[in-house]
Amino acid sequence: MTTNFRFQPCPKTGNGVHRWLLSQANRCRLEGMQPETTHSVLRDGTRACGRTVPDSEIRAAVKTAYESTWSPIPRSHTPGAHACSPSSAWPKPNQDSIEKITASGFGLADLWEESPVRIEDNRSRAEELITALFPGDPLLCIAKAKPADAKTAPRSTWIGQLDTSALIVPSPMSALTGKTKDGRESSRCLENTGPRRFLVIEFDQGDLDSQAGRIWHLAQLAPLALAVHSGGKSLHGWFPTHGKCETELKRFMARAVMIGADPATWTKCQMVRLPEGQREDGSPQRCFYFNPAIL
Amino acid sequence: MAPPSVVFILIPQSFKPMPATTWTPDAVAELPDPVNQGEGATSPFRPSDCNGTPHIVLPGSEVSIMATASNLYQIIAPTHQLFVRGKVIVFLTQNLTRQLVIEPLRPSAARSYFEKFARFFAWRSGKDGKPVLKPTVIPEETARALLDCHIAAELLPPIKGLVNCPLLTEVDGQLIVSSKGYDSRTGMLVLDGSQPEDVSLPEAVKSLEQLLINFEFQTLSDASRAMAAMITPALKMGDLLKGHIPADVAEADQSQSGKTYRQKLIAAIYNETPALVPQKRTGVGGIDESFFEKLVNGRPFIQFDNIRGELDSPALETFLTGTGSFPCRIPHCREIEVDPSRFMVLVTSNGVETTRDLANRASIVRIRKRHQVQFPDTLGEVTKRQSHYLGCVFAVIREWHRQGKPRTQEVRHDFREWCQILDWIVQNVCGMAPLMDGHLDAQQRVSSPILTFLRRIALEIELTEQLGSPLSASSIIELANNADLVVPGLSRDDTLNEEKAKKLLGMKLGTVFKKQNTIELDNFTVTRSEETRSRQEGGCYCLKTYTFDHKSAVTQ
Repeated sequence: MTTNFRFQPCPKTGNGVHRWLLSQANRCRLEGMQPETTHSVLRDGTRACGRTVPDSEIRAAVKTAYESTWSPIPRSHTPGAHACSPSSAWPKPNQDSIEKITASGFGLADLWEESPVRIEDNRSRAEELITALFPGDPLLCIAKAKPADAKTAPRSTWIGQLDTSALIVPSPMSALTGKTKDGRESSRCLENTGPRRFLVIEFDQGDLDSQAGRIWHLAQLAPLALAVHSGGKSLHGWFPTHGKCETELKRFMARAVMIGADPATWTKCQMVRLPEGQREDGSPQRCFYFNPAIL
Repeated sequence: MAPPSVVFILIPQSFKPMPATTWTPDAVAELPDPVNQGEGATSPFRPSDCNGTPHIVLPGSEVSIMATASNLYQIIAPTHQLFVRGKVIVFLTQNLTRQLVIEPLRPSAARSYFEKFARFFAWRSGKDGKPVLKPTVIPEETARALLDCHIAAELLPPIKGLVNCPLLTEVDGQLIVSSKGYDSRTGMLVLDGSQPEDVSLPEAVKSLEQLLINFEFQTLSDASRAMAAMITPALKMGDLLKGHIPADVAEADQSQSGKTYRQKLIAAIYNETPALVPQKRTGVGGIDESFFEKLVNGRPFIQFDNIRGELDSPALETFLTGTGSFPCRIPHCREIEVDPSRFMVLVTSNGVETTRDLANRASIVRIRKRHQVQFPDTLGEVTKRQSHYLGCVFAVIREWHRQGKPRTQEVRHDFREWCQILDWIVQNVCGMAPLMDGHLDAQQRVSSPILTFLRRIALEIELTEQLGSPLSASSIIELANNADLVVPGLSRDDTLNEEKAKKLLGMKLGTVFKKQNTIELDNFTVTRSEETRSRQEGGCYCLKTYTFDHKSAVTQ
């Protein structure tokens, strides 16, 4: 380390390492560090995070930080600005609201009870669900275990592999590959991700009953197609966008973030858990709610 | 400083919010500006909810708890969403099977529950130290004080139970059918159910008989008691029968005989499913705790399903004879008093063994398994045509009422009012056998462990095709061991000690056969014989043998 400024410790993998990289790169820039120094600071900081952070990911964060006009003061705190304007930071979770929703007592079992279609056996229904979610033969970006495995191919190509795959981009892709921000060719990036088909809301804080209660709360506002358990500690709600514009969808996302949703899934090419797929450790990613009628 | 006046605007509340099928305007509306939100703002999502919602000021230096509670409960009472039960405020909630049940409102839950009805404010110091009203969330302590305030008992409606079908009640000598909603006469909340069909009496009796036709009852009176069990809930829930009603005890000779099914049919006529009380052998809480929980939940049919071994529940005995109120204790909640007269207790078993007191409070219906019979989906039929079958029950009751609510002189049951009314109905309206024939023997048998044991041995002998063969006590013990039955009074550890088991069984049988050599057990007879046998080493001894045989079966 060549600097003595107060450095936020890197979270463990799964708790926002990617976001941490960008925030710390911005701090380094404000401290007047050179991009190369920032790169090495970030490299050192991620050593104990629990996963191998690729050099490209760090380079992308540094590049974004040093090319942006990022300011440490969120716009929502400046007079006249609005909290949900598309360019502002996400709102902070509101504990009172979370507690209020959780107090309703609605839990995972209730979500399952409410499901118009219930999957009651242990057989994976990944094929049927993906067919229903992405009719026709669109390009789908799917990863076997981790995002680095992601490949884009027509849906028909994935038949027979879905129930053992872990991750999917919740929107059809527009091309087999695209250019990343740092100019690399990739099968998963914003450039080759098509229009948003689903907005996936992920809750990973609190117990599963509380997460189910919050998804159900959002389901009173917007159509809920699917609720998927990650096989670990989080629950994902899939909301079909039905042609809503990005500004409107972002307002909905902001509402979700206010009750504890992870804003990471706002990124269109962010991979989420494949419904009824399988986690890398073999845990099933069970679907607890499915409403095909609103697709 | 006087608090501002409270605005009373009743907002109809749907109990269960339905999920959106399209994007609602609220989903994509701009979020309220966090900079301009006042201190304590409670609803960041739906600012429109605040419009027109009654405002209530929480207790403080200028406002008493009583005033706040009074204002709040006057708003809530007409919505029939909160009730009082004993001294406890209860609300309706759904259990895992999506049935509405009654549960006590806990202070932590009341904080948000009350927000459905009003917005809450508290006096705070504003600029220049002047008091201003600011929106606030109810503190748990305040919620507890509001729940415990005695004014609730005066303002909120009392509830005795929930029912999913209309009730038949008597007003000024006329029978009327109550409609959906809260019935202030009976204290019951009618949640659902179509109006019952008008059915002619002959059709009503025929339809109800059809429900029983696929069961093989041990005697004709067992069939009569099964018919009575279908009619009793309507009489009791409508307050036409004031006294106690017995528990319906369904006993079968084998599993899968339809005993639970028959009780499900009874509940289905009333658009209900029985709330199950499991017979816990392990884990936290005993059978009484589960029973209390079901009573508090308020569903009218409570079923003790497939009881094995002895059913010894002092709580159940007290409950079946309780008047006024019955105290229930459930975890994390103060004692709740429930009205025992609004519940139907159902028990099923393949060999009921209980105390004499509980047997006296039971109506035992014995059925036998029918082999190689294709049963129709009677339960599906009742569920599909529930209003028809409820109409049939009401038609039978109307006939009894039209004839001046007569009774018979039947005295062979402790619950005289019930047995005399139902005996009259089954004999004179339904044309069936007397209600109580053979019932005393059944009561005596279920309350005698040795007779219950002998009945189960008889069933084993029937299964192993040894009826008519004389069996020694050793053979009976061997049969019992094979069937995992324990001689009454013998500890589980001693089941392999044949000498001890034989001695004990001999003593028990000695009391049974003290006055006669043949006894009757349901549809079996057991005859004791003695024969003298000689020993190889010289001398002789007396061997007692027991011969089990059939009585003739009666098929309904």
